[in-house]
Amino acid sequence: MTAGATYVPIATVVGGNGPEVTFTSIPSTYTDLVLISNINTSYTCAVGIYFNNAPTSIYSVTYLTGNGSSAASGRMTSQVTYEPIGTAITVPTSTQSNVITQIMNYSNTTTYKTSLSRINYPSSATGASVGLWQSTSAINQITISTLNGSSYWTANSNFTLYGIAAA
Amino acid sequence: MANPTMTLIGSPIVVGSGGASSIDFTSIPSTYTDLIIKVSARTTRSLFYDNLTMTFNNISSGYQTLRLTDNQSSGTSSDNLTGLSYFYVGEIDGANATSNTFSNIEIYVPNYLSSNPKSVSDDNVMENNSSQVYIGLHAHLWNYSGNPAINRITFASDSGSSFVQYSTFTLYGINNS
Repeated sequence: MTAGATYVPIATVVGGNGPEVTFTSIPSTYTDLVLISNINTSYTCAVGIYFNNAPTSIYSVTYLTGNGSSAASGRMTSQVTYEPIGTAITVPTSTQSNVITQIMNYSNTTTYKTSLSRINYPSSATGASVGLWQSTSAINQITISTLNGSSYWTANSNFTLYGIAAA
Repeated sequence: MANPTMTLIGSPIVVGSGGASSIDFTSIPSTYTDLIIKVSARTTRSLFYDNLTMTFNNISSGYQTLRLTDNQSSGTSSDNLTGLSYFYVGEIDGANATSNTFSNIEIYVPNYLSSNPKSVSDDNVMENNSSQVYIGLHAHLWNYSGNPAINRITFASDSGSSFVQYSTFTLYGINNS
């Protein structure tokens, strides 16, 4: 059997225009999504990911982090976005960083949506997390936010969304 | 629809019976956006473990590695290594680890052609059916004068030991258009 197309680039968005970037009209033709966020910010900020233009309090996250001197884990519930590394550690302004997020089974309409992230802020933290969006809606829009209107994704930030097909 | 990517670059490098002191991907094409390297490796070091190192463009400065690790014998910890001459990509099995056991590592290099410092991710595991088991999540930064595009990636062990036969290194290119 011929496998379906995988790691297909859906779109790339470059920062520089504000605190949020959004992928819209995401096709439902893949199994999973991979979001590569290569980030740089104007001011220290968090990273928040939310779906379908619905930043409502139905997100939760469980994370494991290291800050260069100690390790920690944490959990947050009833959040308005999925924050891959929680709120305790922020994106540094002076360092190119990246967050790699896998969003599984994103287009089904029967289950809540689970995401898995690897966070790499080389000057301040690394870690991994699992996020849950308690919605059965298919994901057709993804927004990556600084969660701070004064903090912009700079022009050195770019975000690429890939589609992964199982078959 | 855009073309699928994750393209094998060249051929996987499989270490032969004589071992190899280093692994070198040279003349990496500039036609992709990101790179992924998958590693299955073990060295001849006379310990349970060794440290895998990685450099870009045959340059030995500007590297930083922030690690979150769990070691079966010493627990979970984090450290930040700066001013390095190479990345510490992860611990891998040495000669005293369980026979035929190889460590696995996946390295993601976003925007390898950019003129910004290069932020790199890797996940690594060193299994050993006894003790000294290791798992690591690493965030790396290569901040070198001029921030050149990456055209060469070299792996070695920091002990100077050789990679054993069947150690395998595979390079893929990811294109965002």
